Amino acid sequence: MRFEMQVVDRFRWWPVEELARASERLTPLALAEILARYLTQGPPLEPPEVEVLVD
Amino acid sequence: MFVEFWEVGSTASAPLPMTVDDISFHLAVDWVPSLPPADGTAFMGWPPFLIENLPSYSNTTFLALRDRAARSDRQWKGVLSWMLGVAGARQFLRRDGYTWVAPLSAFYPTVVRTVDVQAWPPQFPQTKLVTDRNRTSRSRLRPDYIALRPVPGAQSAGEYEWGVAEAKGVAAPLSGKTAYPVDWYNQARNVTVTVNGAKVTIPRHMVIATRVNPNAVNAQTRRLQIRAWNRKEELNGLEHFVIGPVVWRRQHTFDWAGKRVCQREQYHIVHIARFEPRMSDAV
Repeated sequence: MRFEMQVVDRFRWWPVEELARASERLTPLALAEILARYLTQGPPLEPPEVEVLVD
Repeated sequence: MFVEFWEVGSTASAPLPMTVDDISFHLAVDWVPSLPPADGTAFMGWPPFLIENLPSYSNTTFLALRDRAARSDRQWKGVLSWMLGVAGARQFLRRDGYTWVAPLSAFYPTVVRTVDVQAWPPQFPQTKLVTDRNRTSRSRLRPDYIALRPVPGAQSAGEYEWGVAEAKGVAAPLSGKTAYPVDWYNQARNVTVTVNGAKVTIPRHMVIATRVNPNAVNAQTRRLQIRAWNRKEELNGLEHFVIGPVVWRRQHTFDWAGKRVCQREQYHIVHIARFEPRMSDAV
């Protein structure tokens, strides 16, 4: 993928608790909450609602 | 003659050349690979009786099922869908330069069998090929085919790459199907390939669906369609993993390369061992 360098600065691993304090914009924006909910409650029982985001 | 075709990653269709003789050829090769190619249309002579050439609004002649195909029993519609799924997948693989294609069902557990090698590329050494299920996969099913082709744009002759493909026959239209079901994705990845004792990376795990809709009243809706997907893991180098549940969905509208883009996204959980990510772009 030739565009990769244009949009990806670097890769790193994130501890879940650091995500909640991140100053960077996360994708999706609620990533920390989504992961925390998955770790405590497991996957959603029904398909999640669609978030509509317009930049 | 053509079928309506969506290339991997493309949202717009383009006509793909395909004839009823191509269908006969692919089915004969799939069933009796040692049969001389010239005998394919005689051996598999049914396609002209159930498939017709249908001029469309764009002056392109497309293949479509004849209305008599609707009057067969359900079990035969299932057979028809399966066979045309096989033919559509093989047409796509041939178009993408795969010179040797073998059914993965030819590889029985703990049994060594000789498969047909008429189409084996002479530049590639004959090989002891072992395929197995991917132990991390949740899918019970395996992909249909393993294939071999020269590496596109290779600097030197003799460079080849493997691919695996899953063929599907579906009744639903393929026009809006930019994404494909997770089950198909997992099935296409439920395989490991070992060549002369060394496990090889499979760069393409393709799913190729052919729309087969004999029950449609409108002849245009009985047109055959082919759509291919191949989700590459180019961003992070992951090769063997199982895609997990969807935990988030969103529709994101943004500017990209001078265009306004609206894309639908699904976020899945993937459990993996810690690994060192790498970029595929040269830095």
